[in-house]
Amino acid sequence: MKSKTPILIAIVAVAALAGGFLAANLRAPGKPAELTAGTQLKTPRPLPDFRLASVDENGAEIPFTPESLQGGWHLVFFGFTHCPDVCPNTLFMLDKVNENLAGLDNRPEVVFVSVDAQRDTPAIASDYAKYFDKSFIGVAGDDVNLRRLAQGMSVAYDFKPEGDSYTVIHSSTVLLIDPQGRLHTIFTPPLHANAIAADVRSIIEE
Amino acid sequence: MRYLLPVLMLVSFSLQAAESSLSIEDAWVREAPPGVTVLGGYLRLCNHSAADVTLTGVESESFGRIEMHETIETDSATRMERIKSLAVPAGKCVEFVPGGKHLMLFDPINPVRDGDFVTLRFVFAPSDSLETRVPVRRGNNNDKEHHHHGH
Repeated sequence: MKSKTPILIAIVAVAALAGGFLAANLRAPGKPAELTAGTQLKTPRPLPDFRLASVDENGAEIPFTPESLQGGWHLVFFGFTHCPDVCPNTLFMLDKVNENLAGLDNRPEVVFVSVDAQRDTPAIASDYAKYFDKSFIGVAGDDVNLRRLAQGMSVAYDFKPEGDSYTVIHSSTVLLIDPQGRLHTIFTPPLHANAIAADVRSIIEE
Repeated sequence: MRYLLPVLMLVSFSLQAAESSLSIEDAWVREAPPGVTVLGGYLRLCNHSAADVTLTGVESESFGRIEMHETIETDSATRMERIKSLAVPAGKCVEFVPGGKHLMLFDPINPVRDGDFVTLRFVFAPSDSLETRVPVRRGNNNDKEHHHHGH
């Protein structure tokens, strides 16, 4: 019980910061009329520098850096593999978004970023992501770089001890990154595939 | 001795009566992605009796251990809270659904795959239990129609 309080305080603090950021940077007064699920940033925000890793088709580690998110649209979700509920829910939902957008030019690639540096390697994150759809990219890395990327995407996460193990508390937002590698739109729960797909379509076809 | 048999029959009869007043519906376990040793489980538990019951645990020979958890989602963070015991009031049902209450099934003894069945035993206070065979499925719901096999 004792260990819970500082983590909760940290979460609340990060949430307050994120909230303050959102309030200051999102389009006022509301979202653009054409979006039903997402909240588009007034100006797309460049991401900080980070160095994470994914694997290629042969299972060899390849760098995952800001350049990896450039040249096409991406939908990014932060989670961890030892997550039996929210992470599979979200990734199956993103698979439906993907199917819904079949045939769209510049369809976003889905990126799963594991924030659990202790348990998830790039290979584990990649195997996990590809279970939901072969096109999904799984990314992992060290905590310093993960926090840098997460912060750049207004995503907070923390670890909560549980028995002899731990669980991860995380923002379950889905982030749309534009082809310049900038944070463009934030989708917050509840996440519905059809609404997200419709928003993504209207943004990309804009 | 000659009173023992009727007494045993009575005990066994009352246990059966208690069991039939509880039901578990639409239960399923979600297949785990590769490398993952914790699975989610979902169901609806109904108490048709006139007395409140408390679900105190779930057991299975197919898993190392099973816990009950609840996903709590706020705007900024999603976390899981462990449920140690769960009251099911008389005449009410409790739902375990994706994004809400769920079972966490740890350390499968043998790999469990889409299409398999596992047996789960639900233990209630004061003294009932209910065993049920549960399908393993891939996806976000128990609906076979929308259930697709990704290969």
